[in-house]
Amino acid sequence: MSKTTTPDLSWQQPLGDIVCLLQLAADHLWEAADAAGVDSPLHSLGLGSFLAASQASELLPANGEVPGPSPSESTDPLKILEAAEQLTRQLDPDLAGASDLGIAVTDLLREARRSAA
Amino acid sequence: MPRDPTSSTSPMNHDDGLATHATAVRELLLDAERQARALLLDVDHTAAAGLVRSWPAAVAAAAELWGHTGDEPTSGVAGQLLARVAEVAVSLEADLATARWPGNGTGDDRMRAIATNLTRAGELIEGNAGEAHLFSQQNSDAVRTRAAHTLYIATHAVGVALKRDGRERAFDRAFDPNRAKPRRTPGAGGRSRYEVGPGVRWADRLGAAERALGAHLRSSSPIRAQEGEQQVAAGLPRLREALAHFDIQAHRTLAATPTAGNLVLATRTEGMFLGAALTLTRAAGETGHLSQADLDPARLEHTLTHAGEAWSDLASRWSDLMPKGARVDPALAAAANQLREACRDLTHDTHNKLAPATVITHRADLTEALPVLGHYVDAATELAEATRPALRTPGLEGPARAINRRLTRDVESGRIPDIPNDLRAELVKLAGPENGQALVPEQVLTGLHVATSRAGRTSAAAANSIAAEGRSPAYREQPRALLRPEPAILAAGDLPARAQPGR
Repeated sequence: MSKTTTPDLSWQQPLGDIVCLLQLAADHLWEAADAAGVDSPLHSLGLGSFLAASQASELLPANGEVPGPSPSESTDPLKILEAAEQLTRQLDPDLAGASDLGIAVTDLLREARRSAA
Repeated sequence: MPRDPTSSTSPMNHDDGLATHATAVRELLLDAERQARALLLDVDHTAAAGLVRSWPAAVAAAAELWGHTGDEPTSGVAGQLLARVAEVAVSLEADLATARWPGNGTGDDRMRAIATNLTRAGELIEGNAGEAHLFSQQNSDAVRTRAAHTLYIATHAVGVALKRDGRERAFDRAFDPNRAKPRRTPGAGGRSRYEVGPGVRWADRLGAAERALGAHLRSSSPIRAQEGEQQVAAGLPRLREALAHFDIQAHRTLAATPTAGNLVLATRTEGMFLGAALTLTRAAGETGHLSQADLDPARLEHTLTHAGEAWSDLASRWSDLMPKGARVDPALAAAANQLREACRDLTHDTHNKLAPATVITHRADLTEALPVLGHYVDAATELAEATRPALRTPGLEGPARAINRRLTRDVESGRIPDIPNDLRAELVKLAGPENGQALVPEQVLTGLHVATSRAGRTSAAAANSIAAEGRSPAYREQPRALLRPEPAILAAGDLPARAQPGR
């Protein structure tokens, strides 16, 4: 009898959560940017978060699931980005694009921390 | 007779020992990665010199580790890429001995710790070289990938430090009263003066290594890894190139795949650009460039602010219709990212706040920047129109909850009259716990049409305020007329043909 194996899809879970968190951070950042004014640096940070979310989406399979944000999720974009950065550490670097995503999210978090300082 | 558990000849103990070694290798590599992440999160310009000094040792440690995992270091595509990184490190180390910058001094403790971990992991693998089953091909591949991943992050961090070092030096120069106003430097490869510092040539070389590591981790070819090496332009040339690229790509993407995700990306990027244009023109006003061009700072401030707000409003309305996890066109994402970086390079300081006008003036010739801004603010008028066909998509849907929220907001702000109760009830029902999709009601479509018209109209007004007929030779050299009639709020046929009762 041939041995069947179940494909390991565990890596999709953090990836879906990362997409969700980065998108959520972008939404909060843009909301704050719109309130702050046209020249707010938060517009650029929000765009960075949205771009990182799209980068993470690209790593998911076409039918990959992206969960909605948890109701208990922080509304502080910095905390959300920190959570996303932690999740990128769970990604296997063997997954093509995982290293780039990790760097992009870490860069974004550094940018956000300096903005908030 | 029972086996001696401490005996090295005990098979069980032997295997336990090997397992411990394998675990130790994994832990060392994970710790190296943690340190590389911490470095990238905290890196600043003060660390640049030490990081450059320590980077070759980290590469050497990684190269030794790769060598111990059994593969010929230069075999195959991956080997070529990694060999290239090692070559860069060797040549860079040789030059460090004679270079004026960073000169003699201490290295960086964090980079040294990464190198130490990689060295220890390599030694553990070498010490168990005969144990083929311990470090199988799969394990060896994983070890090499983890080491390359760590080195990729660390190398990127050095690049960030070098870039920040250059910006800090430029900041100091901008406030140095003994320095003359910057002039263009011929033969600087398109770089603005603020990027020409001692760290630039090191950054270029590290950039080549970073690209090779990235290509290795993406399983790309060495040729792909060399792509992007020509992207040396900075300052205004970089902004001009990024604007041209984004303008073309946004039109292409919206024509081919006018999804809500792509529309959010295009409109948010345009809004960000208008914010950057406002910052740059404000800096031009503070440094006397606007009066030289006979432009009215108050009018510019007013029109660019209105245009930026209009684009943000349009973007937030498209965000309502975007499903969670929506994908965007990677080509548009790349163009948007390029534009974001080009704008940040000019308008942000090293703390990600808006840079003072004096600093911005040192980064770009604002007299040259004004017609470029005028040209692409004008192009925003056309981009607004390019978003409109998406509104005619048959059966356009969006998440019910966001649609309901938008309607409530528009009613409360007096933009639309109250909506029928049956529509509200249907949306609440569709939203449910799962936030289902709903057909986009007519009121929301009309709101989008109005927002689109406003984005176009305000962009035209802003472009007109920057355009100054015959006031400056730079304007006369513009290939297209900047002055254009402002579009009407709603042209005939703009409103959706589909009009359902209550929708």
